[in-house]
Amino acid sequence: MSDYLDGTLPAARQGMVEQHLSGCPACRAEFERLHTLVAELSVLPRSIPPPRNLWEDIEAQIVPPDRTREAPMRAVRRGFSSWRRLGVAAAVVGLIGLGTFWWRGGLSSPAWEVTALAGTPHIGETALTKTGTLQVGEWLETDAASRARLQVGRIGNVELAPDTRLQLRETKATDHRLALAQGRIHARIWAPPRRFFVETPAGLAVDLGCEYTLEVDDSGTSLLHVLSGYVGFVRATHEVIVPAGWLVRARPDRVPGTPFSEAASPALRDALVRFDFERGDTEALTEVLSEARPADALTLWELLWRTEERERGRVYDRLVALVPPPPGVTRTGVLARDPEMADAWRQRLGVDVMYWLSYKKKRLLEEQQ
Amino acid sequence: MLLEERLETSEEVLVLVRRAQAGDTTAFERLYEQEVGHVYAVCLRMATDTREAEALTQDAFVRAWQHLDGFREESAFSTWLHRIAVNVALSAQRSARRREARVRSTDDLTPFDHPVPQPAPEATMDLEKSIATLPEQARAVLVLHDIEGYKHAEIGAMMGIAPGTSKAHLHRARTLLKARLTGWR
Repeated sequence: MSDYLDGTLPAARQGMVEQHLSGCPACRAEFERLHTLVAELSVLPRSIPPPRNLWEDIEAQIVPPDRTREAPMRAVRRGFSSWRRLGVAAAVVGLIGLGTFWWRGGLSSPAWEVTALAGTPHIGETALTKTGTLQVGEWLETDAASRARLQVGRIGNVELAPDTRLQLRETKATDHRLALAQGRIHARIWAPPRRFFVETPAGLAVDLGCEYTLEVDDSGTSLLHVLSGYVGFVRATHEVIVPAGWLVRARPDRVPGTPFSEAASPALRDALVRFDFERGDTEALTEVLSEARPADALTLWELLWRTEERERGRVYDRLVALVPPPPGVTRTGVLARDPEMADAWRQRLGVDVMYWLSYKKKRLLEEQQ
Repeated sequence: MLLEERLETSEEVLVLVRRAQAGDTTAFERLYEQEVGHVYAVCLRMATDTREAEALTQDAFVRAWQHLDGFREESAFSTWLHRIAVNVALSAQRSARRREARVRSTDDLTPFDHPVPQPAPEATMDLEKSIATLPEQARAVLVLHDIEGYKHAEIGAMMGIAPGTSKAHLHRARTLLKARLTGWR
C-alpha cells in the first residue's frame, strides 16, 4: 500500500490495488490513514532554528589563525590561481545558460500516458483508440461520447468526463500543471501537497493531498468538489481551503466564492451565489443565515472573513447558535478577526489544524495588516 | 532571522556563493544565516539529540566551505548544501562508534521542545516525537523521502543500500508511525 501511495508499483499492480481499494472499506480506511500520515509529514517544518548560534564555532574551523575578516577578499583559498578562476568563471557563465535551459524544461519533455476509457478522445488532431501520450503544450479533448484517463506522472491520475478540454501545461518533479478549459475532471492525487495544480479561467486548484472533481462551464465558472483531503483554490491573493465533503464555486472575474457543504440546501447554495457574485449582500446574507444548519457552520465561519464589520455580528450570532465556540473565543475577539480565535474555532469545526496553520493563518494575518 | 531579512533571489545567493568561493567568510556567514534552519532540521531529525544535531550542522557547513569549488551552480545552493548535510548525518550514523554508543530513550524527546518557526500544534509535536522513536535506518529513509522529498534511488545511493531496501525501510517506518500515532492521539 505504501508503494501504491507513492505511485511506484508497476501499472498492472497499481490497477489491482486500485480495484481492491474501491471494493474494500477496511483497506480504503487503512489507505486513508496512510495518506493522511504522509500528507502530515510533508508539511512538517523544513526549517528549525538551532537553539544557539553555531557560526562562531564554524568560523573557528574555516578561518586560518592568520586570516582577518577585514580583508577576506585578498585571501586565496587552497592555492586556487586566478587563471583557473577565470576558466571557472567562463564555465560558470556557460553553466548558467545551460541551467536556465534545463530549468525551463529544454532537455526533457516528459509525456503523460493517456488511456481511452470510452469513445475516441483526441490529443490535438490525433484520434486516440487505446493509449497514447500527452506532451507539454498539447490538448486532450473528449467529445459527448468519449472519456479518457490521464496518468499524472507517478503521483496520481485524472479522468476526463465527456466534452472536456484539458491541456498539459508543465511537468516537473515539484510542479505538475494542467489547464482545464471546459468540462469535468476527477483527480486522484497521492503526492505531497502542492505538487499538482489545475488552472481554470476562474483560478488555480492546488492539491493538498486529495481526491476531487473540478468542472468548468461555458462561462468559465468553476465548481470544485473535494472528495477526500483538502484542496486550495487560489486567485491572485485570495485563497480558500476546501476540505473533503465541501465545494466551492468561482467565476473568472471575481474572488473565489464561499465554500459550502455537500449537505447545504439548494436555497442556501442559491443565496450564496447571490452573496458571492451578484452583490445582493444584505438580503442574500440574511437568507444564508436563516438557511444555515450545523452542517453549514464552516460556511458561516468563512463568512466572518467576507463580511463588513456591521454585518459580522449577525454572522457570529448565528454561528454561535449552531456551533458553540471553544473556550477563550469571544464575540469581541472574533469581530476584531483575532487569528488565534479563528484557528481555535475552525478546529472545533473539524478542520485539521495543521493545514490550517500552514495555509490559512498566513492569509488571515496578511489580511489583518 | 526575520522573514524579510531572507535573501530575496537566487541571484543574490549566487553572488554570495561566488564571494565565498573567493574566500569571503562574511558572505559565507550570510549563507549560513540563510540556510542553517534547513540544515539543522534534517540533522536534528537524523540525530539522537540537539547536541549531536549541532555538531552535524557545524560539520556540514565546514565541509561545504571546504568543497565550495565543487558547487557548479547546476542546482540551487540550498539543494547542494542540504545534500552535504544529509551525507554528513548518514556518515555519522554509519560510524561504529556511534552505533555502539547509541541508546535512544523514548522518554528523552527534548530535541523538539524548543521553538520552531511556526507555532507547532499538538499534532505536529506528536508526529516529531514519534519519528524520533523510529529505528535508525527506517527513520533516516522516512525523513529523506517523506519530509525532504528524495527519491528511493537517491536515498539508496546516499545510504549505500538498494532502492528496494529503501522502500522496505519506508514501509516499516510508516507502519510503525501509524501504530504509534494511533496510540498517542
